[in-house]
Amino acid sequence: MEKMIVLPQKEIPKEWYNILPDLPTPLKPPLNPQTGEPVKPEDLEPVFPPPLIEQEVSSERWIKIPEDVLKIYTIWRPTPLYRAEKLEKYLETPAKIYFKYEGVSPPGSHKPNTAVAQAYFNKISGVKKLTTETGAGQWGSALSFACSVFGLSCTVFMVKISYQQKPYRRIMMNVWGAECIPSPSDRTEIGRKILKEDPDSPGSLGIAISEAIEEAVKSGGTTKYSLGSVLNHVLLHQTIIGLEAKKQLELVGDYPDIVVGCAGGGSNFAGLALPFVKDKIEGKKNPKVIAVEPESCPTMTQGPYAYDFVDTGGMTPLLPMHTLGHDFVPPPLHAGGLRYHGIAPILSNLLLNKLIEARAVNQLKTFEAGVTWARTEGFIPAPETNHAIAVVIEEALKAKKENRETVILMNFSGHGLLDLSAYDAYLEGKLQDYSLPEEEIERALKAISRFPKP
Amino acid sequence: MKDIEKVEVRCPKLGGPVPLSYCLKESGNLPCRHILRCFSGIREKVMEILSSMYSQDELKKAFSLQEDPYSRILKKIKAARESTKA
Repeated sequence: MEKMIVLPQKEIPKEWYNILPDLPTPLKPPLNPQTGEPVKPEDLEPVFPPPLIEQEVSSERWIKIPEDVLKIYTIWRPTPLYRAEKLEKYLETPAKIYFKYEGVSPPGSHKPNTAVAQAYFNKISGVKKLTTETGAGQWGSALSFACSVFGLSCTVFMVKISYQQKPYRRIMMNVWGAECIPSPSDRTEIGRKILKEDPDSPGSLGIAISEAIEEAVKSGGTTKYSLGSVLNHVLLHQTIIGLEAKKQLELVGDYPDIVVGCAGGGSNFAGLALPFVKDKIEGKKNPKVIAVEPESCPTMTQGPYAYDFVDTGGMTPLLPMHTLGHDFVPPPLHAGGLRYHGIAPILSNLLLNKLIEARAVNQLKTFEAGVTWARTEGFIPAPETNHAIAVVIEEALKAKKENRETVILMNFSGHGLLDLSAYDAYLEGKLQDYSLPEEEIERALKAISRFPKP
Repeated sequence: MKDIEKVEVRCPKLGGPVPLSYCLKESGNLPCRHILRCFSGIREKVMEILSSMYSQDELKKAFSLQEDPYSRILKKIKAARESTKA
């Protein structure tokens, strides 16, 4: 049995896979909130360069990876595919568990797969500087790295509360030559306005995004904005993960029965999953594809919380759309705008077409899984990666119960070496699960059952 | 600040610990849309605080469906342009 399956560098995929032309139902065009008309490419030009806008709406199935991007990718790509045999033994499962290790990139996660591509397309479009926002700092550090390799300036607005808590990611950004500014800042109108109202504002992702966009919009075209998840072109760039994994599994004669990734904005999950979803769409294979999200922040597994709040508090009338039960799936025609607004539009579409499924895991279970992983496989996972590991363990134990040799493939999206304080809190018993128990959700749903369904 | 507002959770969006006081005002002048899930163990108390801080309309806005990413970006472009004119 091979522990590490390495793809030679000459075998690195030369094209990204674009799922848009293969979707069973087309993506509903996004509407411009100002005009009510479908968004036009020029609407996005103040913040994105033309090549990325073209990729956002492209109907080409395969999009060539530029040579200059491939050159940078080869610093860490192809990433290794590992067999998690120590975990398999620990669980005494007949399942074969493979994981794609994205923690080998310079910033330690999958994020530079798109950061490098975005920096390149901005560079060839004459852009001099990129701005972005960051919460924990994973995306900010990836973009800082990418800008440094293409000689672009980079400004990262980091949510102030994180900036104060997480010095190491900020230092990484500075080492790569980027400026990392605590948001809200006095650099922008929106930042100044917020600081005037509350000088001690701890910031938020929303404020940081506003500041990054404002700096781009006001630059007259020399500065653009970069986003690390959710959008189509971001997911496109990440597909190199799944394309490599397919080739690596072919080398050992395997194909996954189950594909698992954690999903916040959806980019690492989609990166691994989309090339396998393609096989499902074409009817060649039928793997179960699972996106895992935090139970406390569910956008895919539950509808908005509003109804429960509203009902229990009795403060606001229920809107029809808020009465969706958790099993309700709107018909595809209404799909785009109804239920999964918080996630990547591509993932929303795949969920509604039942090509992927979503699962939510509570925080303590994810850390328990992460520690089990570290004590068997050695790598300390990023807390986000722990969500995927928790479901891999669930599925491996299910295979054990059913005595089935299931092949499981997981995206190990990043290492957790800069998240040790979270592990410390877990090991010290300081982490608490405030997320909603299933029975309470059921109770809440029953409580709203008297309201008409849409 | 009341003691309850010092209760911390690990924020799934920021990847670090945040106190309830942060989540109560995370979204500009509105609470984070995930606050009731993240603090569901003390949900009744959180709802009480929210009811004292915000109007019905504000809460409706805070917990309504999230906008798609394009709308969010376009709104922020518009806001940036307007702040330039001002």
